[in-house]
Amino acid sequence: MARQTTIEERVPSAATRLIAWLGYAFLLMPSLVVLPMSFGTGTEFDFPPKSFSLDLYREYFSEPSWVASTLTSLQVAAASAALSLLIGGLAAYGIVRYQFRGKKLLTIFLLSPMLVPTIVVALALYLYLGIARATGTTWGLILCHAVVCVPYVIVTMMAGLRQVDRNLEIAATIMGASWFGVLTRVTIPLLRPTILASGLFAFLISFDEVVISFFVSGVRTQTLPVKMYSTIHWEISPVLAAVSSLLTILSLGICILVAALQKER
Amino acid sequence: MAEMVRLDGITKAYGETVALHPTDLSIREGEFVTLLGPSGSGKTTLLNLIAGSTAPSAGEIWLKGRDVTQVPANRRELGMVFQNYALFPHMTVAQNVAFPLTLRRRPRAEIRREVMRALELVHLPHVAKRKPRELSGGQQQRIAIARSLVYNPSLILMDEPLGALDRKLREALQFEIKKLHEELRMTVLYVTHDQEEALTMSNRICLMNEGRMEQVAPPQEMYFRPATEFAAGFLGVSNIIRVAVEGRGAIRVGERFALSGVPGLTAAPGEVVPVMIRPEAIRLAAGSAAENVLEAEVEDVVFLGGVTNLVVRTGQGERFTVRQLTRRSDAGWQGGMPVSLSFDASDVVPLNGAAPQ
Ligand SMILES: Nc1ncnc2c1ncn2[C@@H]1O[C@H](COP(=O)(O)OP(=O)(O)O)[C@@H](O)[C@H]1O
Ligand SMILES: [Mg+2]
Repeated sequence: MARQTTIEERVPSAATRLIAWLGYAFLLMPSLVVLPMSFGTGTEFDFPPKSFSLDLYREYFSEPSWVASTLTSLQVAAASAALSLLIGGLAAYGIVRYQFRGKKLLTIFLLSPMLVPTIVVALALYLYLGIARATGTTWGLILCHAVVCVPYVIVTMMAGLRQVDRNLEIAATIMGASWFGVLTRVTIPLLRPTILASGLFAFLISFDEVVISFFVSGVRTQTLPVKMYSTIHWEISPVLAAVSSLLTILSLGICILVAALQKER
Repeated sequence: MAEMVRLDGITKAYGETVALHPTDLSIREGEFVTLLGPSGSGKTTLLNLIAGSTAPSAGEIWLKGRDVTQVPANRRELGMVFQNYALFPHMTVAQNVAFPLTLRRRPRAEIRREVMRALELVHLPHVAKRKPRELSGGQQQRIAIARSLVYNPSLILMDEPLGALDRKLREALQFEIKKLHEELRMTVLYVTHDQEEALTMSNRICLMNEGRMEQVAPPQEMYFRPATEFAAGFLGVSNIIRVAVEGRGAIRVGERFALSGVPGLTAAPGEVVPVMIRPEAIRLAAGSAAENVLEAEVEDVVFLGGVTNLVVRTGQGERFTVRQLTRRSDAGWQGGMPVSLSFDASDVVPLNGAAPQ
């Protein structure tokens, strides 16, 4: 050890803590403002709300276009999470478990959607779907979202796989398990928390995604964030407050679930 | 008895580094063979080659008369016990032990019966429903042993299975493994860097050093007739000295000390060869009057209870460790005392391959 860690170094000073809390407050502020607003009434945003009601939520659930875009988002998020789990999981398995030429290059390539600015990816996908005549289709949207989700799945799955003791796989093999047997009876069960966590993250990324969806979704495949975005343009409806609150709660729920899964390991 | 394993010039190199030089070995059915050697001597490499989890650079591996060099690990029908237990954390103890049987699609009732029988063999039938992490290290390793023998593999490989356990537990498990080996007539290839473990458990010891087999012999022979300086130094305490060969089986140790009839001495007269004498084979007497002895002076005395270790130094500057049973009537050895040493020709062990194999 180079030097001793003193008590002062380990406990952050009052100033540091103040800055940290200010940072949190700044980040949390929009949600904290939106949540009370969502219980307001009427046709205007008002903060703080003058009365408490569930009118805005009622409006959200009874308006077919809101419900339709929510269903589209759920469908797309579930499908692209599943697809990116499959692709990302296999890619991570190959990268962690095998040695081959060009491995570094392949890894960077697979992670590149995370490194390139989203708007660039969005434009590229827009042009690409145009050529493939898939603009405005659900499956086109699912593929596009999978492109963004796969890098996150790869990163978390690689970390998870590195945690799996190689000796367990070797032990299973020596006892007679085939490659597939080891995968299904040992590796995947041990990776279960990681698989669930990265699947949930992929779901969340897809559900929140707006830039790419804005480029490639059509009238019949409008996702919830795209619908919210266009609502801001046409009519600033206070229903947005209710939708935003629901989105925040969903994200929070998934994050808590992921944290719980991490603990389980 | 039938041959279980045969290694023919098996070799493993990682790039420039040779982990295992060409090695031959034959293990008979029912034998308990131990690979003994310091860390990095190639023991694990050899075990992994037999298990099939590493591919050899050259050579052949035969199991039960079948060339398995190209056979994948999961078709070799072997059992293996690892130092870190390698129990599946997501399965109960019973599921762990059942694993190899489940893979073989045995009927449920048979699996249940065999699992209980294996757990009884390691005295742990009551933990069947627990998860491995709820067990102590010793219990986990017992479960791993039960899992390795439940499907009657033709050969069980054990890589330092007791390395992570404390001394008392280690001795208890040594005894249990040995007992299982005798009762079930298993063939075991065992790896350890602990010489006592190797001496107490094995039918034969393969002493490994820097990727080579230094000597292969039963424990008694390995201890009493080591073939090389490395073997003599690795097992027990030894005195290794250089002596001049005077004739057939005759050596001169000191000015007034010569011996004839040294067994296994093949060097020609005039050569200087290394020989080993165990500390307990040396006789010690006070003074220096006797004929045909080596004169020396006591340097150090270490009283160990039943035995006393002495370090003595000869006129030529050679040091000997001498081990004596402690007697109450002993005058008491003291530093600086002049003494005379002697030993029998039959206790002199010529080294560097001079011993008969
Ligand atoms: N995967 C590997 N890559 C490179 N060198 C290795 C590898 N495995 C083992 N070695 C080398 O081979 C030698 C023997 O190792 P090993 O068989 O593990 O020894 P032991 O089990 O006797 O301690 C060591 O020098 C080690 O560094
Ligand atoms: Mg080793």
